[in-house]
Amino acid sequence: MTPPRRWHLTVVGTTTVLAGAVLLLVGAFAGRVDVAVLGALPLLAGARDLLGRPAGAVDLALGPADRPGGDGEVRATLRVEAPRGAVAVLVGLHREGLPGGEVLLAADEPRAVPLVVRTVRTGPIEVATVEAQGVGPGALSVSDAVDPVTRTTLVLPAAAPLRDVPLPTRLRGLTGAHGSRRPGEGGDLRDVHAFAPGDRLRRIDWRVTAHRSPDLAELYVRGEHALAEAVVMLVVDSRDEVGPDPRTWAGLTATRPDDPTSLDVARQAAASVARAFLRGGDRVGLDDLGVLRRPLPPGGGRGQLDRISHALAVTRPEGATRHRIRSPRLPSGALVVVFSTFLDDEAGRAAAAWRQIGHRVVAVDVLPDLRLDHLAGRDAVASRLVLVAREDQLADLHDLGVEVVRWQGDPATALTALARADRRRPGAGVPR
Amino acid sequence: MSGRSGVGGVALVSGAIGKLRTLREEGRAVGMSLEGLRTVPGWVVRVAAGLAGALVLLGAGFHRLGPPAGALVAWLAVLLWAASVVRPREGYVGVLLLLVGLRVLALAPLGVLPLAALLLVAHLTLVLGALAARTPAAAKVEAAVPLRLLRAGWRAQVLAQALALAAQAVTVTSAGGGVWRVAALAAAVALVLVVLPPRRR
Repeated sequence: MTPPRRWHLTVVGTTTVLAGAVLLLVGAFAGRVDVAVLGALPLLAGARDLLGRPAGAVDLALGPADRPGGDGEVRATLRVEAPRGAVAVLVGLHREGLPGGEVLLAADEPRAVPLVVRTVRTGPIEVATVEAQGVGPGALSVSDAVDPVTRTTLVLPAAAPLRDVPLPTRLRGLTGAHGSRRPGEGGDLRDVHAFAPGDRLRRIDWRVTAHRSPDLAELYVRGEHALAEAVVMLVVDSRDEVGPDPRTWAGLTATRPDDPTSLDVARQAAASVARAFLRGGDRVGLDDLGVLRRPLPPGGGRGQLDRISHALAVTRPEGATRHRIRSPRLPSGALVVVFSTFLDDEAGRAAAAWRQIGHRVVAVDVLPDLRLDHLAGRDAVASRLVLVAREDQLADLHDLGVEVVRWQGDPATALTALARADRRRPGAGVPR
Repeated sequence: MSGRSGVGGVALVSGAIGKLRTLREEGRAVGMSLEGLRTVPGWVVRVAAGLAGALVLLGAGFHRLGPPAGALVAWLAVLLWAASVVRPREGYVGVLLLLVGLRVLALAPLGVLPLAALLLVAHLTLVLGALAARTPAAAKVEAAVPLRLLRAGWRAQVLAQALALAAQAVTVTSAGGGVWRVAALAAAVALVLVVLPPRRR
């Protein structure tokens, strides 16, 4: 059984050969050497292309992608090997059904070409889908198209630097980076009092003692505030993932891969907040409103940041959204940071519930900047109604004492403004 | 009434602009590239093929055709040339070469040098046209590809030039052309039979 032929003459090749044959015959019968030779040339080219066409198939492989850096570039290696005789391989790049460009690669030897994909998306993404077609020795023959190869990877969210972050209403423990209201060591000056049982000798302030009690009848010691750490729970609402184009929200058309979705913004925001707190020595946990599974408990250190980043990256809408009867239980006194689009009232209801039981709650609005100028008719009206309802819900949350921050532009400034409100007295996040 | 129609017109125009914007958004390429390659844009290949095709037309003397029938043929040639540049995949370059050959047939027999030059530019047109047919205008072409194609085509070019010289020498020295006519016929039939298996775009 003969293997199927994989290389064929193109339309250009066919018409060229036919034109050459006609000219050769016309020249021969008209006795015109010049015309006959003009016809012989395309015939020779076509014959050379067909007789010298390669026999095998083009091999195509896309290697595993590197973890992207902070610049949002994902790198992979494209390997192309054409059979002997092929002059080039036409490589078509796609991503999630959208064109990414075509390149005609020289194919005289096996090639390993770096493929760079610029992405604003995080989580599991398609790096690229690559198709290829071999081009014969004179570009007059081509191979069958090679089966496309696809590669996916997990892109971790990149944490943006934050200057300052708000603190919870209560701090915990006797160590940490924040001054608490409890007496202890390491914090700011609390008072100067007479030496009493339990005071350490090295706390004696000899200068004050000499000033107040020159005869040393009384010793005075410096009292300090204790240090403490904050406990922060990040609550990501992964129930919906919407892009900047409201027409994609129904799910009938996909969001373009170069448009960040609300979940991408939420991942980046949560990773940034987590990094800011963990660098300050605080404990950070993660919960997801969209899934019913055990939350990542609060923890500290670099390892916790890695765990949170990975958990954020794999977070995505899963199946039908479940309605929660009650909000997830969180550690008492924790600062709650809710990342949601607030397009429905579930995240807002949970935030309000946490606020009412005494948590300090920061609602981070992760809806990306919308493109509304191309909407018309019903699309425009529907978008407007949804956005009005959302604004109402955010205003209600603000009235309940939930602090709302929009994660667009410069969110660090908004968080710094919230953080500065804490500094009127030590040990308190919200002076209410 | 006119106010309402004016508002309706504005809405129609804004709707059309919105749809155009949507189409542009949807057709936008996503950001990815192959790095470390020396490339030229695909449209450069088309322009080069177009320039070579124009040289062939000039070499075949289409610009010297007089009205009225000659002008019609000249316009047909220009149309084919433009089609071969704009839609290179459709194989217009072959038809263009056929027209060039027929035009040469209508002229007095070409001398050695004009024929050599015409063979050269015709071959260039053929190679670049074939390359342009495999290269979308928005694609990139690695610079080594056209160089390899041109390098690989020199044997056919030398063979054609030698054939032209030999055939002209034979026709000048021999009294009858019957032998080479039969040889040409046999060669054409054999080559067509060999070269034309099932075609594919």
